[in-house]
Formats: sequence, structure tokens, C-alpha cells
Amino acid sequence: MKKIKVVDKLKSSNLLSSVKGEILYQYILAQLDQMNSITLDFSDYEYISSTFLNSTFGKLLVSKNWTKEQFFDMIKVIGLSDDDMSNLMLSVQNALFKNDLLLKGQNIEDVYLSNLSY
Amino acid sequence: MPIVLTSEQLLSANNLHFEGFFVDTNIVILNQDPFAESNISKNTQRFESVQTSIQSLKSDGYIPYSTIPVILEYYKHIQYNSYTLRLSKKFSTRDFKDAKNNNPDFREYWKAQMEQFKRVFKKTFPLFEVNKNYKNLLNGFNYLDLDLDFGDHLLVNIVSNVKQELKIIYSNDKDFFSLPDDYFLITSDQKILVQAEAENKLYTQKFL
Repeated sequence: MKKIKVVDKLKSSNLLSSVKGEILYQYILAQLDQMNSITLDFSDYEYISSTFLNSTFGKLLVSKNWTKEQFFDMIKVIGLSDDDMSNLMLSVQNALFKNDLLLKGQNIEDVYLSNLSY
Repeated sequence: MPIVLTSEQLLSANNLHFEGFFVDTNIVILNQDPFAESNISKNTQRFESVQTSIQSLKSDGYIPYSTIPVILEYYKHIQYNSYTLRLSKKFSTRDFKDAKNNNPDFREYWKAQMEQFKRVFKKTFPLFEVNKNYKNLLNGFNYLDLDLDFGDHLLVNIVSNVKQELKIIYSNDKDFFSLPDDYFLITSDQKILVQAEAENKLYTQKFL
């Protein structure tokens, strides 16, 4: 199993942007073409945002149409704080929901617009 | 009307001496993104700008404080929308409890929401301890006020009793425009910034 140190790959310890998330997402996709699973080592990161997590892992789960179990079989995550692991888990849960909507032929934006209130 | 500034201006200001600031509920929502709204492309920039600014301010030593009314409002936001979004049904407390107890998928989702919720107000937005008599808060609430709702009123009341170095609120809610002149308001909302400029209430107009 290949192990990737994320801060080295992205040349940054601040993992805040969707752009960085997209870069990591594309990299993971390419790696998964050649191997069955990958370990992402987040050691030495300073900050990570939900936008980054959603752009990487949320998008990955949906594009691969994975279940939660398949996601964690394919993607091993180490080096995140407990707080950020809980953020990752929520990102996975939200991605599972969105994937479910897509499989039912529903438009995510429409569902959010109809059901999310402020 | 408060003095209005962006987080970048607060970071570069040499003549302001704040130690921290109070966050409004909308800022917590934008920072935490409990429903992954940032994945919808038209929303991304709005979420990202708040997340980046919060981290920049924290890195510079500012403490982003939460308060009980904000925590309660955030909880209700998650509770209500977890139910309506996931189940596409009108919210009722009874049905929510039923789903939490009897719907395994919903229970798992709710668990993930609550795991994050419990952590948010410990480190990310630490709770500001208030030793306060809350009895007068109801008397002071102007329910005919078109701007500040009860949650906002509680937040303003808390901030009104802190030292000057903490008399600053971060919000993208234009209702806080009705704050008094001696308050500061951090915002990334362009409409608020435009209105503040028109009324000569921008930090850059008053202090630079």
C-alpha cells in the first residue's frame, strides 16, 4: 500500500482551500488506477477545513460510488487530530447522502434548496 | 452603527487592540459547514473565505469566542436541517426523536453531526464564560425590533458587558448594523461593506 505525506505532496501545511483539495483528489484518483488502496499521512499539517475535506474525500466517495466501508478499505487516514477525524467522518456522511441522491436521479442543489433552511 | 472591517484589515491594523472577538451563528455555520454546502460550486468561495479568515485570525492570536445563545442556535440549525435535508419531511420534534431512535441511517448521520458539534465549542470557538444575571435580558429585549432577534439580542448583551479589547463581533448578518457606534463588526459580506462605506462607517474611512 502506498503511503503519501499530504503536506509534502501539496507543499503546504495549511489545508484550507478547495483548490488544494482538488489537487489531492486528482492525485488519489491516479494512484487508485494502479493500486488497491492508499494511506494518506496528514502529519505536520497545521489547519484543515471542511472545504478541503469535502473537495477531496467527499468528491472521491461520490465519484467512486463507494459505501462507507469501501471508502475506509481503500483510503487509510493517519496523522489527523481527533477533532479533524470527526470532521472527516461528517464529510463522509454528507458525501454518502449526496451519492444516494444522485443514485436516485435527484439534483443535489435542488434538494438542498428545497430542504435546507436558515 | 458599528465600525465595519474585514478580517484582513483587523490583521493588519496597528491601532486596534483586540484580544479576541465573538462569532455569530452564521460564522460558525460557514466555518464548520455541517452539511457540506461548500461542495456546491456557487457556495465554495463564501465558505472558504470565512474558514481562511478564522484560521488567519487564530494564527495571529485572536480568540474566536462563542456564547450560549450562538451554541443553541447552531444546535437547532443542525437538528432541524439534518432532519429536513435527510428525510425531506417537515420537522417535528417527535418525528426527529423517532428517526434518531429507529432509523439506523439517520442515527449514524446524527452521531457524526453530534461528534463534530461537541468538539466545535471546545477548541475552535471556545465558550466565553459569562457570570451574569440573565433576568434583565428579557426586559431588555425589544421584540418589535425588526433587526435583532432574541439570539442576536443575547449575544449583543453579552458583548456589551465585556472589556473594550473584546467588544467586536464577527458576523455576515446585516442585522448587526443596528449595533451602537462604539462596537466593531468584522464581516466578509460585500453588501454590509458597501452599506458601511456609503454611511462612512468603514474602519478604513474612520481610522486610516
